Amino acid sequence: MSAPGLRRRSVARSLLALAGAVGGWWAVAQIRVAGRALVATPAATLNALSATAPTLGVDMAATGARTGLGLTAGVVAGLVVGALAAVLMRQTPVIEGLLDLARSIPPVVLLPVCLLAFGYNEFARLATVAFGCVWTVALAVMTAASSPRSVRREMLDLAKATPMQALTWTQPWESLGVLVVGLRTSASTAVVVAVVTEMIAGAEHGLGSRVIAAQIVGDTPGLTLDVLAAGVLGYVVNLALRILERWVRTFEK
Amino acid sequence: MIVAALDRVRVHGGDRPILCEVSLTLRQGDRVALVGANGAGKSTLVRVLLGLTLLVEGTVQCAAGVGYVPQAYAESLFPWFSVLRNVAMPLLVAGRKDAYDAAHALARRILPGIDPRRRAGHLSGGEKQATALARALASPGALVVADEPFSAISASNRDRLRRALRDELGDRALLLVSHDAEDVAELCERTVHLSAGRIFDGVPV
Repeated sequence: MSAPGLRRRSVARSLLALAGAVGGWWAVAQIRVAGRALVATPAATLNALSATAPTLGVDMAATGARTGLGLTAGVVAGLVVGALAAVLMRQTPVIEGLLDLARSIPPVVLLPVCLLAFGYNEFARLATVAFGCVWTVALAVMTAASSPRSVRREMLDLAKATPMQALTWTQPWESLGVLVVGLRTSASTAVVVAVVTEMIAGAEHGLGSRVIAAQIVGDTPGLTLDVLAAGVLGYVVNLALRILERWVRTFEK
Repeated sequence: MIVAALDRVRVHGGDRPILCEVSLTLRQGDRVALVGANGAGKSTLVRVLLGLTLLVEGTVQCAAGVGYVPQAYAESLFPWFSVLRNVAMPLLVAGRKDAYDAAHALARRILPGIDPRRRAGHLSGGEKQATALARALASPGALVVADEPFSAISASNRDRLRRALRDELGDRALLLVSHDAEDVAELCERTVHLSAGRIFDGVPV
């Protein structure tokens, strides 16, 4: 089959899958539990969207900003912690276990700690999001730093390169793969933690606050819309990082 | 002048000896082929000579600034840098002011079909190997070590690259690891056989 023919078939299949997903959503919306719908129908959700689009945009932006700021803080801290851990690990192997333990602590359980420490404010929420990211990034940095000596490194050693030359010619590039995976994992965590933090601690704006508000008043279409919006936000963050990854790794075929 | 020498070198891989009492001397201008069956220890000998593998016993002496084409030539390049910067690497490290000019001239002679501004990661396998060879020849030392340097080069380019290697070597010594009799015959004057970790030196080509 020719390339345009294959493309047409692929588009047709994608549209069919999309229609199937909407049909499945509609079918789930027919399920009643204790007389109430589990989720709103696609039509009701679209109505909710048209009625609340401006405020939904503001709330998505607020959650997005919280995710971005928390992620940035977490990544910066993770780079520092990871670099320190990589240096210390040569003499103290237990460091890796400690970092893994820290990563295993669900970030949202740190929210009460942050609320006690910083009060009910934005800083506590951001600190919780950052906590969710810092360990993954730190472990990624440590893994990258402790990877076996590459052939490239040997070539530089043979040429009698200085340690600084050897580091700058290889390490940032060779670490890119591990760091990008760490960054994407952290970004997914950041979205989840930002929303849950808004749900638990409350916030003037944010998707988590909307979800709780919709649940309290029994607004199923609004709730369905907010859940989807959280999914869209996570998807957009992940997509942005994939584009960034592709852009950064242009040296690969 | 001796540019590299191994004296009664022993290397073990686990409980198996890889090199047993191996001695080898390379002088300025020597063209030596290192041949032997797969697993005979050729690459290990090269790595020992270059100081990349730890010894069990023996002594190694090697001149500075050796040019090296490793068997893993593709992994030895810096895919994030241009072909030119890859070729210039030994000269940049040596602090040569004319590193890029010298590398550019060398690339023109050895890599005529390759744009030196291309990223090394975007090259084909054969182009990568040729780039690794050019980089080895850019090295300022008195010895070039090439481990199967033409394994990915097409037959049409092989002759040209062999000639280029011979011309660019000057009075430097060459240690060539190869399974190809034609490479050995064209480039070397002396063959060293390695078998089960033992060396049989001085076999004329």
